[in-house]
Amino acid sequence: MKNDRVYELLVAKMQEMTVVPPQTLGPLTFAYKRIVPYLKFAPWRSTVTFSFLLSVFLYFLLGSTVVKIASLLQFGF
Amino acid sequence: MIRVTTLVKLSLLFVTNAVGTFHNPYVTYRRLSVEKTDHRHFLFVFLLVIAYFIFASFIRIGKSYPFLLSVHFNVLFAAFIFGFTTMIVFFITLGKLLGGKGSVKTLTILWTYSLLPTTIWFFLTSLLYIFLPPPRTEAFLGKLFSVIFLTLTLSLFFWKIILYYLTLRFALRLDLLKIGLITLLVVPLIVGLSTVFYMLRIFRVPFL
Repeated sequence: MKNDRVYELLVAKMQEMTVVPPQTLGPLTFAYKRIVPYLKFAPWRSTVTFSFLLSVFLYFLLGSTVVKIASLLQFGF
Repeated sequence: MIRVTTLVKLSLLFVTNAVGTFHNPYVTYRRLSVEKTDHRHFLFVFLLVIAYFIFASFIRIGKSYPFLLSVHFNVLFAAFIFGFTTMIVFFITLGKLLGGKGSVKTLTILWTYSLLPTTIWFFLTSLLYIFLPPPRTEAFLGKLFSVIFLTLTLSLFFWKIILYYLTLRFALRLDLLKIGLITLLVVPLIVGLSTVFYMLRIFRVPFL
């Protein structure tokens, strides 16, 4: 009975994993497969890093406008 | 009447899923899309949203005007329900037109969990409005705060985009190209909804 339960769980897991077919993008599939793991597992690592770099870049690009944007967003709730 | 054990079980499921959408969104959304157990855990997200609207109403109106407070809360909640329903109807209609397979129930559950980054951003902004009220100055600390605030905002925005993609991917079984097509159409809808909410003085940033 124990083995049957394990088998059922394995089958359920296999069915869950094949719920959508693998994503392909023609010639871009290789690049897609390289990028996507960073977004699938613990995406906060890459998103926080990217967001910080983008914010610093925006600061150097726009200067004090970034301060105005932050103030405007703070009124946004 | 819901039993205490069921309530505890559902709340634990909600916490597990909420952490999962943050740390392991792909696997969590895939599991949620095929799960056949009790789905009511997603209602906790709505409770969080309601808690936020009560909180926001207190900040905006204050506790001295209970009538205005309840009116403000009802307007916020009605606008949220309208926006939420519009998005669900839009996704399911376009998804089916593009050959997507899925149910409204799964779409609703997955899209509801995508409200977590939205709710967190609104809570964060409201709290910062109290403790560090705007506008920021152009001194060093003002600039530093602005960069940190923008980093948090962008991080939550990217988290939302990931959950948006996974909602359409798993709830409607769509591929990237079709999701891109839907996105091209959903952006004008969001801009339109945001403009209406802004003009009616309901949301400055849309709660979607």
